[in-house]
Amino acid sequence: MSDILKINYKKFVLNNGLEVVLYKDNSLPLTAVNLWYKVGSANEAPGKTGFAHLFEHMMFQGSRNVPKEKHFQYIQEAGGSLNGSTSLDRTNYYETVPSDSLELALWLESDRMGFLLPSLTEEKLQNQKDVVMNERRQRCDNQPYGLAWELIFKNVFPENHPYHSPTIGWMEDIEKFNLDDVKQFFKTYYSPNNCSLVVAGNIEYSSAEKSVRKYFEEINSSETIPNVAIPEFEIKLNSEFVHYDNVQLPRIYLVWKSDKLYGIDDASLDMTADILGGSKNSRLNKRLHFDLDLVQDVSCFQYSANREGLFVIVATAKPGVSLDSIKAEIFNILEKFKSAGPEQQEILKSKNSNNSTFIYSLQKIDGLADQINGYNCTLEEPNSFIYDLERYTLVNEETIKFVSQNYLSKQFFELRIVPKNENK
Amino acid sequence: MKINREIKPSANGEISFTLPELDNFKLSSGLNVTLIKKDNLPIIHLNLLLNAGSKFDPENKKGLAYLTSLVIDEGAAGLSSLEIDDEFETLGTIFRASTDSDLIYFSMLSLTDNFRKSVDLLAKIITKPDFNHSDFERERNKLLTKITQLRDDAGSIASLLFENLIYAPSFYAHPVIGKYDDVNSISRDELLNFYSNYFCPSDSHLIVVGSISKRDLLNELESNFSCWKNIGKTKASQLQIAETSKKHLFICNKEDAPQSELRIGHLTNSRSHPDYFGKSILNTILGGQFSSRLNHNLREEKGFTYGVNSSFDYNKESGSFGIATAVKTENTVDALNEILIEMNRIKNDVTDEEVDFAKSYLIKRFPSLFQTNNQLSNNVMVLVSHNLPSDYFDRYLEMIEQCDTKTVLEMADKYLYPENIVTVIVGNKNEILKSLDRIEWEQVTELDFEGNVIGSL
Repeated sequence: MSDILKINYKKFVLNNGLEVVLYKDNSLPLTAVNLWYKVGSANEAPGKTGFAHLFEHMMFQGSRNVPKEKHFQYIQEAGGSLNGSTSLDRTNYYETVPSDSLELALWLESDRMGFLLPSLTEEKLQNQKDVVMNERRQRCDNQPYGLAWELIFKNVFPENHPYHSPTIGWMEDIEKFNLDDVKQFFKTYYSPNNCSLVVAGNIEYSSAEKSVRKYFEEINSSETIPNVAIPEFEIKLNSEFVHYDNVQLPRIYLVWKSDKLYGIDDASLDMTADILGGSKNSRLNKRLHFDLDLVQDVSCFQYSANREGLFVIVATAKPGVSLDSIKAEIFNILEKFKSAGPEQQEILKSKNSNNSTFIYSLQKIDGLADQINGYNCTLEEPNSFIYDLERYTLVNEETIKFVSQNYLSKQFFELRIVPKNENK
Repeated sequence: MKINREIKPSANGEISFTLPELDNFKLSSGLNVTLIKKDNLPIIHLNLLLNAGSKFDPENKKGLAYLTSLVIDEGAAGLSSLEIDDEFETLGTIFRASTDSDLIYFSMLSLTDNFRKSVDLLAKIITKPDFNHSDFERERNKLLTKITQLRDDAGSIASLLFENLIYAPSFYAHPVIGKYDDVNSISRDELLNFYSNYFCPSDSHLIVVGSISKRDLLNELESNFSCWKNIGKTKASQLQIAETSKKHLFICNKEDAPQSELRIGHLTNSRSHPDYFGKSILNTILGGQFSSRLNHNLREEKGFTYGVNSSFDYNKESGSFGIATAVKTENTVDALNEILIEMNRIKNDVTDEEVDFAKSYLIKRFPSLFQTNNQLSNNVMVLVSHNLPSDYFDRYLEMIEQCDTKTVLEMADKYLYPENIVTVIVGNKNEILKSLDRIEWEQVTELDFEGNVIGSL
């Protein structure tokens, strides 16, 4: 299996600091262009939450040689697909085009990397602020349990921590942004030396390299990219937060501070989460749903980002069941698991599922390009598929027992989202 | 060397793309099979389509098909629900049951090495389900709770109300997930009946895409599915849909909602009609992709919404045209008016540039629809579900190419009826009514979450 995961690639760095990775796969006449700018909501200043994401929207509003809305239109006309996304730690932009249109994608990406500012207008900014505020309404405010994630981040991470606020931002901050904010953000972070570009698919290395150099080499870099300060912190007290929402059933979230992405315990925590709540016969689902019928659903996951990680258990109560009884049962299960550890069969099951998922993820060139870029940005090695898989192969009974005892015995944050009519 | 950035680069090089070959055959049990051999990865995707969707739900038992699909993998050939799931997980195989109004389908993605064991498990589920009492009770309760939870989500409510209104009184009107009182009254015997009436090989189709030879596949399938001998029930279609009436607005109140969920549209003809291609171009221009008129107007000009889209959606025996969006409450009526303006405008005014763009979009993206095993399988599913000719994909580009601006205007005239639309809004009723033009909107009815009429507004 590791043969398929051995990705051949070519990597080079332009004089302006732009990292470039080329990966050739000629099975279909498609090429993926994928850029990661190493800036996300973690880089936002206080009172400016949501800005990295709003800025991502502005990147689709045209640049010096590309009129408003034409970025989308040109790519679509060529038969391509495209988008962008913002997370805590990075912002990515991507196009997948028929391979004859590689230069089109490079031209568009380089024009906005180098020449975004001349086309900025107040009108465009106002428009995208309205769009983003509607995105927030649609994804968070008008969604059942839609505020859970931001309530967790706000309460778990201290105010001076870069993960304290949600990536989409607080409404009152989004409303306040002005053109100077946009210009300053662009000058600070949207520089070739803060970016990694992957071109993957039906390419020839020499001509693809030539095209990349042609469009990106002349773009200037900014001097320094400011660092983000990460304050040390622990969850010091078991604390509880209750939020009343337009929902039918109460839901409980238990959140522990865990390990960051590719941290030494990340894979063991991931597998622990899978054994506890990742499948039908996982510990939590079997006990809470099959044996006791206390929950409508229960899940468990290790969320790991570049700077921190969280271990989360989520359960929705069956009608008439109290969250207290569910919480008590969750802790019974955890205590038993911490002392006895996992069974061999549980570990095997989790490893096999993980192996297959790796293979299945190789099917689409856009996903592959993004994965390669993630490896390049986070691990500084584009071909980290085998490394990544081996992290999981090395997990065993002892490491799982260790992380469950070490992390899940600490203080935690508890969020309850409860139907409005139970607000007495 | 400085480059001239003012010039948009033109396409450069050749695109060569060959459609995958379909191999169709029948098993001794009567089960139809389509195989696409795809060897780039050691994986196999399988999709078993059963003619057993929610349109076959009996009166007062709405939700029976869906419930059957939920219970069927909860125990088979003596294996318990948890044992079955453990086996799939240990094999690294992803197994999923889905239901829509026409079909129940079971999809499976496995490594080639584990295909044999995975098929063996799938065959047990399909041919030897246990339908244990306790599993049945548990899944039915879970479904009842799921139906209760539906009302949390304004977007889902809007979509269900919309389908209910345009398809009434036909078997496409009720939600696949079912109705609370109906599901509550379903017995295990009714489930067993549904299984024996609708789970039969001769009326089913298996699509396999992946790294496996026909001979190996045949061996696996014959040894596992030859015991499946269910004859089933003859199904007669009785599609009855009310004639479209005058334009009608339905509001479902969601207090304090910061946005309104809008669904606007009407019926259309079936997928197999040759006008499909012209309609696709029309819809591409109107609201079928990001650079559409609707998205330009409502998002990029007005900032009313995060996004809006339109689509022609097709069932086996009918279809619908619908526009969907979520807009800030205070912009609800303005957004609705703009949507109507766009529906009317496109009936008189379509430019050659727009048609060229839409054709280019549909033609050039074609190879990207054949990347993953799952995509290939879905494409075959479209052929099977809608009885399309076997050369459908071979002729697709030619059929799109043939359309011009005149065709698109004809399609707009023939298939968009802004005067007869059904409109559903789930949102803050009082705020919306404040700005609603009552000359434009004579018929306004308030519905509850389940579609019951509360009264005229």
